[in-house]
Amino acid sequence: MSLPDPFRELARRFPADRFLTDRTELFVYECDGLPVHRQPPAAVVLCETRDEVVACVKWCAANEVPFVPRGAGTGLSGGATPVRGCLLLDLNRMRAIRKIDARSRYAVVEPGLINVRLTEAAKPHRLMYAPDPSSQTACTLGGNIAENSGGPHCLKYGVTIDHVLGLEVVLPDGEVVRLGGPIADHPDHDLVQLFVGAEGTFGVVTEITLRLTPDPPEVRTFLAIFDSMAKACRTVTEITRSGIVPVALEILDRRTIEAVEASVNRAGYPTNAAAVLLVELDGFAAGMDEEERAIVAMARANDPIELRSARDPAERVALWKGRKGAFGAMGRVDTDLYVLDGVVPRTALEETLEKVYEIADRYRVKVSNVFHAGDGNLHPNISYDGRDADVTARVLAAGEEMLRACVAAGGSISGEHGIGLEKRDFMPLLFGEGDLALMTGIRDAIDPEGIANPGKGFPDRRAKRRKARA
Amino acid sequence: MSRTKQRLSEYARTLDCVHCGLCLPHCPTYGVTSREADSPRGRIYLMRGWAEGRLDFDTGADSHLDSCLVCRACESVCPSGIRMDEMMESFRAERPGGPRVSPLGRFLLREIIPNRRRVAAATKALELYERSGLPGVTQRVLDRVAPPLARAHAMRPRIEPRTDAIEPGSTWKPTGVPRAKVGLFLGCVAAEWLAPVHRATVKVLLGNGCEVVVPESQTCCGALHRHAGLLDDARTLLDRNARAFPADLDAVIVNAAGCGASLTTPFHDSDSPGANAAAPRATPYRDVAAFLHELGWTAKTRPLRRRVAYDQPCHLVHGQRVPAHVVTDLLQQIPGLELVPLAGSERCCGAGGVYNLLQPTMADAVLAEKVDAIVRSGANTVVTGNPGCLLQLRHGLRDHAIEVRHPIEVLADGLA
Repeated sequence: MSLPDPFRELARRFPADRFLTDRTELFVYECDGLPVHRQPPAAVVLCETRDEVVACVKWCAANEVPFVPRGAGTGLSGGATPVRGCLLLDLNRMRAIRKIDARSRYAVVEPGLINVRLTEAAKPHRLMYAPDPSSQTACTLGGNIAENSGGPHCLKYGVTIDHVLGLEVVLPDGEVVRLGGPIADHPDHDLVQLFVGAEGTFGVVTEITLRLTPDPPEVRTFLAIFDSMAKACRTVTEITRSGIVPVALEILDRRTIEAVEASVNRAGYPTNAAAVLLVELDGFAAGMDEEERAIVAMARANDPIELRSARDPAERVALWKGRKGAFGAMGRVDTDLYVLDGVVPRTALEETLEKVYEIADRYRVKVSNVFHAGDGNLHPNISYDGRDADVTARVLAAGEEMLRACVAAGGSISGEHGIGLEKRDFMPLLFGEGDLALMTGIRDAIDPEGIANPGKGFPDRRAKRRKARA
Repeated sequence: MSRTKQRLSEYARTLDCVHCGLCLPHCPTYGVTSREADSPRGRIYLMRGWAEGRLDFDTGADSHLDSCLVCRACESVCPSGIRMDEMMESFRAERPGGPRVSPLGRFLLREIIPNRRRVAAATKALELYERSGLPGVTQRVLDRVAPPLARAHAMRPRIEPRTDAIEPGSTWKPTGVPRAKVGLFLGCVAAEWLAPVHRATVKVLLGNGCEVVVPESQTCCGALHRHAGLLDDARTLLDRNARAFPADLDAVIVNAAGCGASLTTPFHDSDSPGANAAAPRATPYRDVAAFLHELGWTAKTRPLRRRVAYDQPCHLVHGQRVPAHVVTDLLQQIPGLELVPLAGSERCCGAGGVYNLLQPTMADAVLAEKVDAIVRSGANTVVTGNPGCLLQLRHGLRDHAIEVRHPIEVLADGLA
C-alpha cells in the first residue's frame, strides 16, 4: 500500500493498530448508516486523547488534507462518509464519562461515548440523558452533537441542542476552544448552539458537557388503533391543542403495520388497522390521571378499533414492540433501506402522507411510514435493492420529491438526521441565496482552508471553485 | 450475479445487513480493537465486497474474518435478522484456497476427535504427562521461547476424575414410572475430560423422573469442523449421530451449549442431513436446562450455601435463544443458593470452541473483561453450561478463589 509521504510521517506517531492504511481496513469505512454514498478514506486514525486529535488536525491543516470525524457510523445522512483523500478521525476510543454532577444535573463526557451509556450511568442518581435516537444503543454522543439528533421522546424534552451546555472543540487549524459550560448563563455569543449540528464542518468536538434530566417517576403508555390515518392524525392534533405534552406521539402507517405483522416482531394488530398511534406520558403521578382520562377520551372520540394501555414496564415493552420492531421489519423487505427524514406542520401530516404514497407509486418504490407525529417529523422508509442502479436512481428521485413535498407543505428537509451528503443540494429549497451566503460565510470564517468535513451540509461551492482553479 | 454466487454460497445473507450499526457495541472483538473491520457490520461488508468482486483477499487481509468468535451476539440484536454463523461457515469453507486448517488441526479433527477410543488414549497420555512433573518445566521453557504455545500449554485441561463415568451403551431408570425417556449426548472430549458433568446430568435427570439411555454409536457433534469450514466432515458426523439415537426418545439431552447449537442448526445448503425434509423425524436435541425447565422440576433438594453467578454460553443464549432465566429458575430450586447478577453475562468469554488456541491474544483480551465482571459480582461460584467456556473461565480464574462449574453440577449437588 503506497501511502502519500506526509501520511507516513503522521502514522509514525501512532501504534500500527490505531493508524489504519490497509486497503481492507479502509474499505469498511467507505460509508456510514447511509450506504448510498461510498468513498474510502486515505487513512483512518483511532484517536484516544484530545492531544492526538489536535496533532492530527494540525497535520491536516499543514498538509491541506481534509479530515472527517466519525463516531459509530450510524448516521443516516452521510455526515461521516469520507471525502476523497481524507484522514478519517475515529473517536470511538474516546469514551470516558469524566464527571457526573448529580446535584447540578450535568455530565462531562468524551465524544465517543455511546448515548445509552450516559443514561445507564445517570440512572443510579435517578437522572437520564433525554435525547434518545432510535440508534441510542450504538450511536455516539459526538455524532449526536454533529447531527443534532432527536428521538421518539424528544417531543417533550427537546432534541440534542436543548441538552448541550458546553463543548471543547478542536478548530480546523488545531486550536482548542471551550464554549459554554455547566453554569446557566454565559455572556458571550451562544457559540454552543452554532456548533451543534455543524456536522464536523467547524472542527472536532473532544469534550461535551450535557444536561441531565430527572428520571420521571411515573410513565403511562397507550396505544390507539384506527382504521384510517385521518382518525389517528386528528387525535394527534387534538392532543397537541389540548396543551397536554406527551413524551412521545408516534404513528405507524398501514404498510408498516403489515410489515411488522409479517415479521418475527409481530405485535398482534388487527388486520383492518390502518394507523397505530402510540402515546406516552411521563412525569409526576399527580395530575396524570386527568391527563390520561383526557387523552383516552380524545382517542375514543375518533372511533378507534382498539385501545390498549400499559402501567408497568413489561406491558409498556409490549406496546412499544411494534414501533421498535418497525425499522427491522422494513429492513427485511429488501436488501437496502433508505430512511428519509422530513418535517411538516402537524396539521399537514395526513395530506403529506398521501403525497408520499403517490410519489412512491409513481416511482415504483416500496415505502412505509413510521413517524414522530407529535412534532410532525416524517420518516418515509424506502426498501429497495441497491445493487440495481436504475432502482437506486428511482429511490433517490422519489426521496427528493418527498422532501420537496414536505417543504411545499410548509415544513423542512431534516428533523433529526442532519443534512450531510444526502441533502446538501436540497438546502436551496429551504433557504435563499442570502441565507446560504451567511451560513457559508460563517463556515468559511471558521474553516478558511475548507478541510473540515468539506462538502457536508451545504452545496459544495468550494469544490467547484477548486475545480475551476485547477 | 452468477459470479458472486460462485464465490460465496451465502452471498444473499450478506444483503440482510442494512448497515445500521446496532451490532457494534455487542461485538466482543470490536470492543477490544474499535476497528470497523473487527465488527459484525464490517465483517459482513468485507464478505459482501469479496463476493461482489470489489475486494480481494490476496495478502491475508481476511484475518478480520478469522478473528470472529462466531459468538453470535450480533444475531440477537440485529433488527434485520442476520445469520453470522451461516455466513462465517460458508466463507471459511469457500474462501480462496479453501478451509484454513493446519495439518495438525486437520489430523485432530478427522482422526482423533470423532473416535472415542483415540480420545481416551490421548487423554491417558495427557494424564501421564500431568503426573510426570514435566508440565512445570515445559511451561517455563515455552514462556521464554514461544509465548503463543505457552498460552496453549497453560490452557491444557485439568482432567477430572473418571470414577463412575457414564459409559456409552448404558441405560438408567428412575424409581417409579418414568416421566420421559431421553438420550444423553456425550460429545467428544467432554466425556473424557469433564466426566462429572455427564454424571451430574444423569443424576439430575433421574431425580426428575427421566429414563436415560446412552447409545454406543454416537460421536462428536461436528461444531469444530463447521467453525473451521470442514463442512463435509461435519455432515458425516451429524448423520452418524442421527442414526445413533433410537426414534422413541422424547429428547436427546445435550449439556454442551456449543454442541447443542451445532446439532440444532441445519446446514445452510439443503442436501445436508440436518435439513433433510425426507428424514422421518429430526433428532430432538434439547439443551439440558431448557428441557428440565419445560418438564418441570420435581426432584427433592437440600440447601446449598453458595453465591452463584450465571455466565451465559453464547451458543445457549444467542445460538439457541435460551434466555438466562431458564437456567436461573432451575438454580433457584436449591434452597440457600444465592444468585448474584453478573454484568455482561451475555457477552462472550473468548473461548469460541478452539478460538482461544488459534487467536490467543484476542481471546485473552475478551477473557480479561469477563474475569473482571465475575470478580466484581462477588460470587464464589460461577456456572456456565459449555465445556469450552468452563475451560476458558477456569484458566482465567486460576488465581482466584472462585469455582467454575456447569450449572447441572450445582443442581446435582443440591439433590436431597
